[in-house]
Amino acid sequence: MAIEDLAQNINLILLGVCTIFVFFMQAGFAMLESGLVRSKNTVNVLMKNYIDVGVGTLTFWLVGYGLMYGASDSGWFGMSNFTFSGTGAESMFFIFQAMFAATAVTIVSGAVAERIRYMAYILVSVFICGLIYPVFGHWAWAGLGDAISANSWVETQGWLEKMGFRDFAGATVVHAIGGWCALAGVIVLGSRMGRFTSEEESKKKTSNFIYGHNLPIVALGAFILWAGWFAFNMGSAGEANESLGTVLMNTHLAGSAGCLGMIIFLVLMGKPIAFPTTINGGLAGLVASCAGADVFAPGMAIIVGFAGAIIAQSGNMLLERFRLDDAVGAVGVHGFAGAWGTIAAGLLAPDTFFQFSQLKVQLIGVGASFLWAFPIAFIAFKAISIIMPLRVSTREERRGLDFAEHNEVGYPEFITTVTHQGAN
Amino acid sequence: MSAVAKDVSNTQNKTKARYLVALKHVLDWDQIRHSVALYDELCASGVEDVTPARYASEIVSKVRGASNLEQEIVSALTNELSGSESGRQSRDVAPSAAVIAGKMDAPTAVFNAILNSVMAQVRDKNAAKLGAISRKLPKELAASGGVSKFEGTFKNWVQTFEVQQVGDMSEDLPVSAITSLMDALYGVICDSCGPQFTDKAIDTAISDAEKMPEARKYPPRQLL
Repeated sequence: MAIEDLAQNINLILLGVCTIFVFFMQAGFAMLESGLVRSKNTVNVLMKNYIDVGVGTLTFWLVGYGLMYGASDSGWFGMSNFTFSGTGAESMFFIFQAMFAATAVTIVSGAVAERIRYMAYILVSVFICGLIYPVFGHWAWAGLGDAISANSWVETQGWLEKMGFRDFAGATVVHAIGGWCALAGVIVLGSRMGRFTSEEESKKKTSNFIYGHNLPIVALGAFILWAGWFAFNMGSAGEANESLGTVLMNTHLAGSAGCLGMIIFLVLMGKPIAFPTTINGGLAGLVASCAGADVFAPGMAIIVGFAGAIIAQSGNMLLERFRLDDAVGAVGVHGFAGAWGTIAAGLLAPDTFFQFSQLKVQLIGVGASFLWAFPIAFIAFKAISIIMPLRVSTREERRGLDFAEHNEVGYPEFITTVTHQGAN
Repeated sequence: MSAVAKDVSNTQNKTKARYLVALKHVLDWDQIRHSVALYDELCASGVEDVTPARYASEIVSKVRGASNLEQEIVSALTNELSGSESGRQSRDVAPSAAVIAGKMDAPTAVFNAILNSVMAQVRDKNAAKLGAISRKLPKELAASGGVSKFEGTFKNWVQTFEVQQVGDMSEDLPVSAITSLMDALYGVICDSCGPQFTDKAIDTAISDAEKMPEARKYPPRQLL
């Protein structure tokens, strides 16, 4: 076997292993989100995370991959490779990218938890994986597919990519896009019952925090996600070389700095150092690292992660001020921290350190992600609400979505609350 | 009615509510019905302060099957009364007079019990919230088309609850209206006290209501 073939095979193995770990991040999201909701909605959250992989992957196979990595002259959307039928290395690339698409959807699932109707959520997944995510992905990453595709009839690059937009592992392409879609969902759906006090009482207190039912599960989810993040960023390198060390180190440093940044921020704000918020700090650091994990110097990765956590929490506090109910803080963590990480990748990378031209490109990319994803997701949520009820009824919300949507409960053996048991 | 007489009447009603909570633990439903009538007779005969000992002795002498329960009755009445006077609020709620008299159909009686229990829990958590909720509930009903015609019934219930600490539905409600009322109740209490307190309060109320005889005809969990 020639040395080039061996290197190619090692690259494929790396991508395969990373794909498995990125897939396993769905388990992390499932644990994190289900622990952060009330026990009566546990199954529903798990079901949403589970179906993300299924529906998300199929939609990405059917149309998403073609839109994202198909050939295009304009750089706006791909026009080949629908119902993907590639083989070999391209198949590996496809499945890795499908996991990214599923991740973008899962971000939405947490934000809209405890009130969205399950079937409506599945349609949302289809919209995101079939349109919103791949079209923006094409703008930023189309060249990656072009390099690996055997079917490309034209040299393809997204319009952002042509400008020199830098987003190594999807701080904007995956996370901010997911965050903006989540924001649209949160606005259209409205808050969970009782999350915010009525206008009459809001002079004294505006919100009722809804505590998660299982923090150990949240912790497990956070650790799984952190481990998965190594693969998420490492797989984005595409090949096994010495850059992987930089990627892993920066990812980890940014996540660690995110935890610390969040704790310091909470202390300075005079707030309790809450466990879920601290976890969100770590995640925000990891999200922020994605755009420049391959180029940051260690100190810069720490700054990016540290600031990412503060920006994420500030974003979530802003949402709360506007009485927008994001059940797990996904908009701040993925949307705001993702946007920051992308800007930082232009601002703080050694080769473009404080270069205005690169900063401008990064800002255009972040702005484009919002202007594309938010309105389309908003329209999608509204359109779905015309076809079917988007939100469960008051009674179903009261009963819990586990029973109302799936006719089961998360903890039948240990449940301490009284539950509806169907007609008798 | 003079102010003094009104005070005496209010005190008697509150004491009666606490005694009923206590009696639920020692007597059966028929015995409670007779005991309530005895309490009313004592008040009507001019006894201003019906003490546990006096009331227990009346029950033991006049209610069938209670003759050997004097110690238990005195003890239950005294404990409930002293707990209430020392500021400890029991989440246990007295059955309303209409329920005891069997005047309500099963779904209404069950709903009435749940409502009493939930409101009592709100009062225990923060009495100031009770007023806001009492004001908002009829408004919520007025806004919801299906049950707006029961707004008057509900207002009466709230007034009774505020005075006597236990409310009574003055008419039977159809099950469809009851489920809508539960939604309205949930929404209003969620707004004031938060969803997690509300879930817990309703769980507790349902558990309490399951002990009622009417629960056999209409399981309270149907209202979840």
